[in-house]
Amino acid sequence: MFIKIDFVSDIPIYQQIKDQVVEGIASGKLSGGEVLPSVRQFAEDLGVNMHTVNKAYSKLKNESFVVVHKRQGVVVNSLENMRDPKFLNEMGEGIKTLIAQAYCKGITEKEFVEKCRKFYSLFNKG
Amino acid sequence: MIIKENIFWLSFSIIIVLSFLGFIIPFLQKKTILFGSRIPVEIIDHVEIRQLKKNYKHVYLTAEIPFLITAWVFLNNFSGKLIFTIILFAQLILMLLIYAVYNGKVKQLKKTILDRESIRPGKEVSIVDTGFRDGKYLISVLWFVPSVLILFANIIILLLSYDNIPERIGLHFNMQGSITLSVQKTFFHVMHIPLNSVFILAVFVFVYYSIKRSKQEIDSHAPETSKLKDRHFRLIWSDYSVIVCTTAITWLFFLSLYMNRLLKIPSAIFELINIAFPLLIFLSAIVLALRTGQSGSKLKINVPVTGTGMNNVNDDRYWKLGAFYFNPKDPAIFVEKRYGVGWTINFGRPVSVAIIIVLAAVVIIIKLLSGK
Repeated sequence: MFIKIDFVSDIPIYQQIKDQVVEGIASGKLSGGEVLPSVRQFAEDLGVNMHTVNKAYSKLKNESFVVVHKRQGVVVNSLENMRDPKFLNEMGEGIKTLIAQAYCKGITEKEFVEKCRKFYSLFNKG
Repeated sequence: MIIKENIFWLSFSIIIVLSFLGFIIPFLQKKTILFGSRIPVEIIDHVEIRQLKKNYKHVYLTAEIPFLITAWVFLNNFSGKLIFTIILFAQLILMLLIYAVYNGKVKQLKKTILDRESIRPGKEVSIVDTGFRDGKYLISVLWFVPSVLILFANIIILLLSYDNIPERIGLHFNMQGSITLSVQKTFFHVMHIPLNSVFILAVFVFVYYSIKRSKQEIDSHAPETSKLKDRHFRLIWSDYSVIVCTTAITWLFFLSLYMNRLLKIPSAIFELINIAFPLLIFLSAIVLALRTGQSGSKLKINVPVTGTGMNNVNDDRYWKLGAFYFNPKDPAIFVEKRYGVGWTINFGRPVSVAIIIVLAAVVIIIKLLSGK
């Protein structure tokens, strides 16, 4: 799966890596069991510091999107193992800010929900 | 005898081939890199960019013709290794010099076009593939096993027949295979050639490893196509490295038996191999380079190109003279060349500098030990 990094973006590089890996898993471009590049190799290919890749990987690991095997390295977790009902509460604050922004910009509830549906069906297909 | 009569033609042909390479090398790159500079996809076919390419060819030929005439005169009137070496280096420097001038020119022109026509190039992003090194993109490292076995066989045969080796053995030889320096048999002198083989094998394994590890060169405008090309490119060159390595180790095996007087090689065959082998490697590498292009730019890939409209991150300032990569902030040690076909190292990394020092030291030590 291609990872695209924008070096002048406000979004930190580790966050860009993390977001794209998660999106890759949701859309099916990355499947459970797939091995991701080693920290060193990934850093060299991207031309970024190893700490940056390490940070992305440890965040992904903490949120169980990936598991770190001693021999294989960083491996995409299976969707079953990622399941976590508590996440509904955890995401509350983040989604509240997003909805507040959308509300202020005049996005209606219907439009917002429609957008959500679109992405859900996209990921369901994957 | 072939050699002596044709030494002039042989040396002059090498200079001619190099000259031809200097002419063609800048155009073996993919279109988004010209004279070592990243060209935004919006202007790769711009008329002034095309003119600059033509202009390079004219200037190159104008400089090369008098140079080649001078080389001809010198090689014709003087013989010897030194004069050839000087001309060889002069040729290489001339090639690089003209290229460096055009590196400066293209950077200027790029700016001028973008400013004058107020083109806003697509976003600059770096793209890598997480699965780039999955599947078949390199020959298996196990293909080095034959070389290792031949090398072991070489050492074992020399050890077993040590007592049968005469008291005086050959150390140096000329192109015809006549021994020009004989020395008293010592363990080191007997093992002198296998020691060289160990070094050669190590160098090829190192090359293999650098092909594997080298930074991905993915075109942000056409990620899928350039990824496939780069992978195919690595596969072909890793195959080639293994073939050259195995052949070289095999030849050294026979050579060591010959020098230790365990095997007679007819001088005609000896001479033939001595000329044909380096020439074959030199020419096959060139043919292969012309067919693959840098990062596989000349390879045909049956994937529809869907342009993303994005550009690679402009890293021109790290490419000194458009040819030497110096970027202390990039953790990568191996990167694809800007001038030529293959890989180079990031001179901004201490590890790379250490690699050069170690390689040079080993070469010097082997030379010193063999008494040259």
